[in-house]
Amino acid sequence: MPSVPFKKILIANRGEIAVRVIQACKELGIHTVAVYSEADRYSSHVRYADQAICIGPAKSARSYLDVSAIISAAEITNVDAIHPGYGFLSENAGFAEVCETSGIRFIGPQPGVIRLMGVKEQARAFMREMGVPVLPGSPGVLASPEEALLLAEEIGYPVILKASAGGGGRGMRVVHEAKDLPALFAQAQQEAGAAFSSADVYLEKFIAAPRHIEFRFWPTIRATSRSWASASAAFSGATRS
Amino acid sequence: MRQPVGMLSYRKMTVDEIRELIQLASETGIAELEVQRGDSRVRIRRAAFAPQEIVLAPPAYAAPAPAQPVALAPAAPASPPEPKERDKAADPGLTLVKSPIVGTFYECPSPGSPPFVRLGEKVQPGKVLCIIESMKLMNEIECETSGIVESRLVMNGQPVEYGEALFAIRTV
Repeated sequence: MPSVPFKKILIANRGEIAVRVIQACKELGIHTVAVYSEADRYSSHVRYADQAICIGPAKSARSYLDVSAIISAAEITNVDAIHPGYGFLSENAGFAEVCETSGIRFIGPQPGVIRLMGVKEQARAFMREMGVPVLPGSPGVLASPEEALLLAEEIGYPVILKASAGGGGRGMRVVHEAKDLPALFAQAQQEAGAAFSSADVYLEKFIAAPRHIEFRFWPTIRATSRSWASASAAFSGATRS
Repeated sequence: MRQPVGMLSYRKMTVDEIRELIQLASETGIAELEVQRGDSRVRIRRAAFAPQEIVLAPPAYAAPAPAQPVALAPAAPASPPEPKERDKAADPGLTLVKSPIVGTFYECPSPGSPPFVRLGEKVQPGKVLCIIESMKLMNEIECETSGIVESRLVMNGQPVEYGEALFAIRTV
C-alpha cells in the first residue's frame, strides 16, 4: 500500500472546514473535488479545490445533506474517497454505508461505530465494557421519573438528564433538587421526542466545570481491532493514574 | 476535467509561454482557455465572453497570486464553474433546460437507440428530453415549456452538475 492511500478525494462540506481539508490534501499530494450549493458558488473552498461541482440549491437539505447528490458528484469525478469534514453528513451512519456500497471510501468511522456512538447510553455502556471510566449515571434508558429520583439520590445532585439520541444541546436538563426532577424529566423527554424522534433519556452526574480532554486516534487503514483495544487500554490507564 | 501532470513537468510557465497562449486564444476565437502545468495554471478568457457576474465576483483566492501581468496563481484555485449558457441566456426567446440533479447526461434511452429529441424538433411540456443517471438511477428530464429545440449544450455521456444548462428551447 502506498503511503498516501488516495489519489483524489471529494470534500462533502463547505467554507473553512473544506478549505482545511483541501489544504491537508495539497500537502499530501491528493487531488481535491469541492462540492457547493448555488449559494456558495464564489466561496473560497470552490476556488481552492482542483475541481468543483455544484450539487444543489442553497438549502442544505438539498445540497450538503443530499446523499445522492454527493455520491453522484463523487461518481462523475472518479474520486477514491469522501471526506465529510464535520457536521453535515459526518456522523450519518447511513451516508457512510452508502459510500461503502458505492465503492467509495468514507474517511471516518465505520457505520457501526457512528451508530453506536450516536446512541449515547449505548456508547456509555460500551465504554464501561472496554474499561474506560465514565461518569456515574443510569445503566441505560430511564423507565420513569421515579427511577431517576432513586438514582439521583444515590449519585448526588446536581445531575443531568440527557436525550439518548441527542445532539446540539437539545433534550438536556440539569436537575439541582429532587423536587424539580419530575417536571424536568417530562421536558427532557418531550424535547428529545420532538427533536430526535426518540423520547429516551438517561441520567448522569452533572459536572459544572468540566475539562475537555480529547484523544485522537489516527489508525491507518490497516488498523485492526487489536490497535483499538491497546489504545483504549492505554486511554483508561492514563485517566486512572 | 483537469488531470494531474507528471512530476517531471513540474516547472513554472514563462511569460513568453503565457503570451503565446493569449495569442492562441485570440487567433482561434475560443471563449476560454485554461492550461495547467505542475503548480502553474493559467486561464485566459476573452472579454467579449466574460460574463458580468464573474467580473463582479470578488477574487476569492486563498493563496496570494504573484505580481505578474497575467494571473498565474500557484496551486491555482479551481475556476468557479461558469455555466456555459450565459451567451444563450441573453436571448429572451430562449428557455434553458437545466439539470435538476448531478449525474451523467444521456441523449437516448439506451445505447444505439435514437435520441429523445433532435435539434429543430418541436417539443411540448412533458416531453422527455434526456436522461440524467445518478447512482445507477435513470432520471428522465422532461420539457417544461413548448418550443423548438435549438441547441443541445452537453455531449452524450458527459457528467453534469446541478443547474447546468442541457438544452436551449426557442419559444414560438
